[in-house]
Amino acid sequence: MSKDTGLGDQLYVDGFDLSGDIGAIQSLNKTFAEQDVTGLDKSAIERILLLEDGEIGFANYYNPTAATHGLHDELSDLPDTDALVSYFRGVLLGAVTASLLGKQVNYGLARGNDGALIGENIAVKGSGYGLEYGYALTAGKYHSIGGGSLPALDGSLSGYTGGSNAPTVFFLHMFAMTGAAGDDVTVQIWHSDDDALGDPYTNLVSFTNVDIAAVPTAERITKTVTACKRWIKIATTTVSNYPTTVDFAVAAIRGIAL
Amino acid sequence: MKYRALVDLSIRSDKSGWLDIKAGEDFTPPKRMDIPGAIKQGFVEPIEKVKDDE
Repeated sequence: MSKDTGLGDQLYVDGFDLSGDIGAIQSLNKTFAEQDVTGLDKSAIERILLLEDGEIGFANYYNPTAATHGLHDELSDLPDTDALVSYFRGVLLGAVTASLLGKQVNYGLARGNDGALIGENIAVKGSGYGLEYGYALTAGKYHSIGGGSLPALDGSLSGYTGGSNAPTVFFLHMFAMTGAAGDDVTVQIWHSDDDALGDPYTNLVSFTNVDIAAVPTAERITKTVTACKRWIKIATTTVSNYPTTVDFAVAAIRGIAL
Repeated sequence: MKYRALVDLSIRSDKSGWLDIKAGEDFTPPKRMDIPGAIKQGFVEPIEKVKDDE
C-alpha cells in the first residue's frame, strides 16, 4: 500500500449520509488516559494506560433542508442518546474506516462579516467505547435491489488470517428503503476460511431486522463467541417482504482486544 | 453421497456460481467442499446418520 489521500471520503451519522455537508474531518482520535507511575529509582517517566476514549470532529456547512436530511436538520437538536458516527476513507471494499459510538456535544453556527454562514466544528465523544478503526465491508453505500450476497473481503489484506478468538465488531448504517409498509431487511455477516473453495460461508452474526418504518437507523454489534474467519461478506434477507431498494453501509473491526 | 445441511450454507459449485443451501435441506456437495471440516464444524451430517437418529 502506497501513500494515499483523503479524496472521496464519506461520513455517516446514525444512518444519515452527511458527506455533502461536511467540509473537513478535524479529528479521528483514539486515545487512552494515562497514569504517571514513575518510581523514585527511574530517570524517565513511566506510564500505564487507563480508560480508552475517542473523538470524531468535523467542520460543516449550513444546510437546513429537512427533505434531504441536511446536516442542520439532523444534528442541531443535540440528541442526548448515543450516535454512531462512521468515517469511510473512500468508497472501496476494504477501505479504512473509523467508527465511534458517542455523544454529540455541541452544535453551532457562525456568520462571517463577508456574509458566510457556516457550522462550527462538531465533536462527537465516545460513550462506552473508544474510536474503532476498521475496514469497509461495503464499497461506501451499497444500493440493494434484492436479497443476496455482496462481494467478499479477504481479511489477509488487512493482516488478518482468521482464528482469533478476540471479539469482532460490526457497524451498520441503514440510510434508506423504498417499498411498501411492512417491508423489512436483515443484514447478515457470513464468513469462510477460503472464500468457500472448501469451507462454505456460514452466518456469523446478524444485525437487528429493520422495518421500512424504522429507517434511517444505525447499529453496533459485537460477536464474542465464534472466531471470525479470514473471508467475510455481507448478505441480506427478509422476514416478510424485501423492499424495492435498500441503501446501507457496513464497517467492521476484528481481532481486537476490548 | 448426500448430506443434510444443519445451518444455512453458501458454497461455490463445481461449475460456476454459488449453491445456497438452507438448514435442513439435503444436497450433494460440490467435489471441492471440505466435508470432514464441515462435519467437524457442525455444518452438515451424512444422510445415513440423520436417518439413524430419526
